[in-house]
Amino acid sequence: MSSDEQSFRLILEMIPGLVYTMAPSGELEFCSQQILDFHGKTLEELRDWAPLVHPDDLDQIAEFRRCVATEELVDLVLRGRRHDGVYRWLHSRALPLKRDGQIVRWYGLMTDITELKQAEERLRRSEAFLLEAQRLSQCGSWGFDAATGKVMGSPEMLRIAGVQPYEDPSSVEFWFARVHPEERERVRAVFGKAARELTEYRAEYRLVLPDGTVRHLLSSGHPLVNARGELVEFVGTSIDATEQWQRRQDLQRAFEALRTTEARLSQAMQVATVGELAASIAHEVNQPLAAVVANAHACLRWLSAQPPHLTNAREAAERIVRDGKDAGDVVRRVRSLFQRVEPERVSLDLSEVIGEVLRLIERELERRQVTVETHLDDTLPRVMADRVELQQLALNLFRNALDAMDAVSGRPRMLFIRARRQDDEFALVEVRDTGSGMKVPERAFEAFFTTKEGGMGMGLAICRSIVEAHDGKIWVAPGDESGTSICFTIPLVVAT
Amino acid sequence: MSSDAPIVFIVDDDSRVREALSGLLASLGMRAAAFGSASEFLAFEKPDAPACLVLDLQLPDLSGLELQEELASVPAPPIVFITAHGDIRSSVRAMKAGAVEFLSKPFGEEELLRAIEAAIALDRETRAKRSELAELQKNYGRLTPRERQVLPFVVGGFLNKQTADDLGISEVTIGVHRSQIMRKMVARSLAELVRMADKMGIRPHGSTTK
Repeated sequence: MSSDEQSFRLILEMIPGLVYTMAPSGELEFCSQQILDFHGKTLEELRDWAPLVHPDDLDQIAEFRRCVATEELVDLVLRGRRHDGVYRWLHSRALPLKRDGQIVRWYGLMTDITELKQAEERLRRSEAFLLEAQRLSQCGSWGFDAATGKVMGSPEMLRIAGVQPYEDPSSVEFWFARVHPEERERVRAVFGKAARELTEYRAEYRLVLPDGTVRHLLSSGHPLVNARGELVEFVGTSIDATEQWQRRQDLQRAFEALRTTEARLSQAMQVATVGELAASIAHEVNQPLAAVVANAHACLRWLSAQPPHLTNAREAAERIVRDGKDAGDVVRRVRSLFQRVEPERVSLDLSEVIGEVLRLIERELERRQVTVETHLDDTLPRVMADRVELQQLALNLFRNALDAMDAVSGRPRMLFIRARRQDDEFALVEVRDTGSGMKVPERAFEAFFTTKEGGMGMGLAICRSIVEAHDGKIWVAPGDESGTSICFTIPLVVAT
Repeated sequence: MSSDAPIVFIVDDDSRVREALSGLLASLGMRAAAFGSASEFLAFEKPDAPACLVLDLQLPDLSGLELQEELASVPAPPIVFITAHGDIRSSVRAMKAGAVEFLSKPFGEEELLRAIEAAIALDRETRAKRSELAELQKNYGRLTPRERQVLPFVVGGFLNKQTADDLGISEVTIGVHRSQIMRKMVARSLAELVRMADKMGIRPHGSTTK
C-alpha cells in the first residue's frame, strides 16, 4: 500500500460517514470502520452484502449490477440490516474514478436516511389525514395571499364550491361570485372589514353552484401578520353545513308542529276536564239520590202495609234525610270548588282567542254543517282576562249555539260572532245562532236549568260565573224571531 | 221463607245504596244479600235458589263489567246493571254480554222490580234446563259401554237387525240393550229418547252434519 493510499484511508476513517471503495468489478475493497460497526460484520463478511438487503428492496441489487456494468453513477435507496437486526433506510452513492477511460476504483458514500424517510412519511400521512379529515367533515380550508391577491383552496374547498375543471378559482371575485346574490354584499363587507382591521372573520351564507345547488356554509378565518403588523395571509375554513341546516329546519318544523299539537291538546284537555267534572259531579249526586228514591219507595211500602210497619218506615225515612243531606253536600262542595279558582288576568287579543276556539271546533262545525260569520273589529284594544276561562266561555257559547241549531232544517245554520268596543272600559261580544230560540230566556243562566235532553244545565251558569268574575255582564239579547243572541262584556286593558 | 224462594244479590260499593236497596227489597218481601265488592260476592256461598245479581258498574276491586266477564264461564245469576254514570259505551257492552237490564241511578221502584223479575224468571228457566240435563247425564252414566254404543243407532231410527249387522252382535242382544236403555234413561217413548239424546248432544248414528 502506497503512502498515498494510506493517507487517503486515514482521511476516510476520519470522515463521520459511511464510506467505501469498490474494485472496478464492484467488489467491495474497503469499508470505513463506521460501516463495519453499522452492520457488525468484518470486511470479508461484507463482500457478500446482498443478504443484508431488505427482501422488498432486492430490485436495488439488480440496479447496482446494472450501474456497475454500464459504469454509471450508482444511486441506491434501500433498507439494510443493522447489527441489531433493525433495517435502516440507506442512501448509497458511488462514483467511478476513471483513468484513460478505464475504471480504477469506485468511491462510495452511504447515508442513513431513516429519520428523513420517517419525517417524509409523517408529512405524507398528515397531508393525507388532512385531506381525509376535510373530506369527512366537509370542511375546506382556504388562504388569501395579501401580496398577490390570490386565493388558494384545498381540494375539499373546491369540491364544496363545485369548482369545475375549466374554472380558475384563484381570484377573490370568483369566490364572491359563488355567494348567493342576496348575501354577496354582506359577506364581502364582513370579509373586507376583517382583512382591513385584522380581526377574526366569521360568516354564515349560501353558495350557489353552477348547477343551481344551494349550499349552506359556515366560514371562519383569521389574519396572519408579519413583524410590521401587515397582513401576509388570511387563512380560514369553510364548513358545508347544508345537512345540519336541513336537519335544523326539520327539527324546527317538528318542534313547531309539536307545540301546536301540545297547545291543542291542552285546550282539549281543559274541555275534557269540564266534561269529566260534570260526569263526576253527576255520579256523586246520583249515588245518594238513588238511595233516597229507593228508601222513599220502601218507606211508602212499609206505610201501606196492613198493618203499617212504622219502625221500618221510620228507618227508611231517616235514611232519606241522611242521603238527601249528602247530595246537598256534594253540590256545596262543587260550588266551593268553582269559587276557589282565581282567574289569572292577562292582556289578551280577543280575536285571537275566538280564532283559537273556532279552530278547536272546526270539525264539529263541518259535521254539523254550520257556517261561521265573524265580525271582529280590528281596532279593538286588548282585553284583560284569564285565557283559559275566556276560551271556556267562548267554547260554551259556541257549543250552545251549535246545539240549538241541531234541529234546524230548511234554513241555513249560521253562527255569527261579533266583537266590538262597547265603551272606554268594555268590549262587547255577541254570539248569535239561527236555531230555534230560547223558550225561557229569563232563566237561561240559572244553574241546573236546562231545556236540553241530557243537558246538565251547567253550561250557561258557568258562562255567567266566568263573566261576572271578570266584572262583565252576560245577557240574552232581545231580537229575532228565530235564533238566540247572547252578549257579554269583558274589560279592556286600561290605558296607562 | 222456603229455600226455593228467589234471592237478589246486590253488589255496590256505596253503603247508602246497599242499605236502601236491601230495605226496599225487604219491604217487598224479597230475600236480598248485599256486598260491597266483587270479591265479597264471589266468596259468598250462594244458596241453591233462583237468583238475580244487581251489580254496580263501578266497584273498588273488579269493575262490574269484569265481574260479568268472570261469571260468564260459570253458572251464575243473570245481571241487572246499575250505574250513576250511565255512559252509553259501558251499557252497550254490558247488554251485549248478556245483562238483563241497565239502570241509571236514580231509578224508580217499578223499573228495578221489572228488571229483577225478568232476571229471576230467566234464572228459573236456566236452572230448570240445567237440572234436567244433570238428571239426563246421571241416567246416561248408568248405561253400559255397549248400551252407549247402541244408543245412537236407536235414536237414528235403525232397525235392530241393521244395528246388529253393523255392530256384529245378535239381533236378540240388541233388543235387550234397547229395552235397558229405555228403562235406564226413563224414556217412555222413542220420541222422548230422541229429545233426551239431542239435549245431551248425542248425535244419531248416520247423521253427517250437526
